Amino acid sequence: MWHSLFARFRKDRCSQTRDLLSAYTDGQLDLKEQERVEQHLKVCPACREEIGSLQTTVQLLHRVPQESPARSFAVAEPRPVPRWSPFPVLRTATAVVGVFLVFFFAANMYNLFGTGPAATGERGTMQSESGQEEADAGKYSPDSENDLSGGPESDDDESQLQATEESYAASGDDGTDQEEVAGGDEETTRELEGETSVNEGGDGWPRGGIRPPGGNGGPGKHNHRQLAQREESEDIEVQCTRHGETWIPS
Amino acid sequence: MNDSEFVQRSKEGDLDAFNRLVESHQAVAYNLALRMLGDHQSAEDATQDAFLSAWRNIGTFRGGSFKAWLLSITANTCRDQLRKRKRNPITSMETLVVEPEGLPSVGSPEDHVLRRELGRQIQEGLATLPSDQRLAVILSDIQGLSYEEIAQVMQCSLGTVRSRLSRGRARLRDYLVRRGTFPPQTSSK
Repeated sequence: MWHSLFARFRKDRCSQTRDLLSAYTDGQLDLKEQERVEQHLKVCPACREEIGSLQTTVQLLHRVPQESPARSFAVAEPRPVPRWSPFPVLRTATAVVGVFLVFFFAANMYNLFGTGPAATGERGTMQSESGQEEADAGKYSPDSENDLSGGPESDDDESQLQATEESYAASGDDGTDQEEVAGGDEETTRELEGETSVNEGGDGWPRGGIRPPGGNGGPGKHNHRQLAQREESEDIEVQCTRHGETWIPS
Repeated sequence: MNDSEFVQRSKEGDLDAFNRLVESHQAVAYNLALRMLGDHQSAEDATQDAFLSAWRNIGTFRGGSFKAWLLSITANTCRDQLRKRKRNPITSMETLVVEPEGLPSVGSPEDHVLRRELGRQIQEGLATLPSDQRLAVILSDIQGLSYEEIAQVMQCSLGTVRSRLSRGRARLRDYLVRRGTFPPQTSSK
């Protein structure tokens, strides 16, 4: 039993060593492997024969003559034309489009572009106030607390809408803004009271959502679209004369 | 001028510079193709294809050993030819014999005959190896490349080079023992 175990161990050792003999011949083993091989070669005649035959084979290969080619392989083709690859251009274009889309969606999320175009009839009113609106554009910042998306959940009447707009005014940066906004809101309120018309001809809903910044009251002042969406089920439509957006209050 | 300067000029479209590189390396490339494919005609075709491919793709050469890069292209061209042969076998690989040209002038006629016979047997033995082992043995023991250069040509690790070389040599040795080229020794399992 011990003999067979020893024989098996010896066989495994020979097998492991033979895997290293080729590299040992080329001096490609590290120091540890080299010592292991040399120790084994001292005690194993079979592995000594193995390495001998391998070395003979390598020496025979060294003696294989180098043939001279019968002809020259010089190239006669004209200069290769650099192939234009569309991929770099496509990559750049894709990156630009990707950045643009990210910007667009982020801006849309923060309602930087405002809401839809005003109805035809009110376009004049909106334009007359556009100067003031542009001046106010930079003064407003998205205020999530005053965001109408988190606003009144129940059906809104006009007074509640007025209160909401006044809360926006209160979030302005200085007194001047608040006065301007308050004045504007009073005007808006008066107009709201007198005008509750159904949007028959024009389309007051924002289309696409892409608007120049500050064109409709500044970023984040109102979220008419969200307000309008909440009121979508109602038939009556209200339009803001200041900004031109339409929505349906309860 | 060394290779890198010719390579740079070749990248700029200087065909003459590229043909200087061809002149320097065509013997090595041809011999590799010859030992891989086993006959002169196939070796010439493969070598010409390899140089054409190198010229067309010189822009993709990123530095390092131009010789290794060129031999890599040559090896790939040879593999393509071998694949075609497998699909459309015309002649068995083992019957293709490289008849040495350019016979050495030194030595006795008997030496000449022995060497010729040896060359033929070795070529037949190489033909029995899998292409990767054959390539490793040719690059190392006939072309004299180092393990690192072989790894670059074959685009593999040093460990893989070691393994393919070990198996290729053992297999060739077994073939030569069977043919009686040298006395029977312990053969690999």
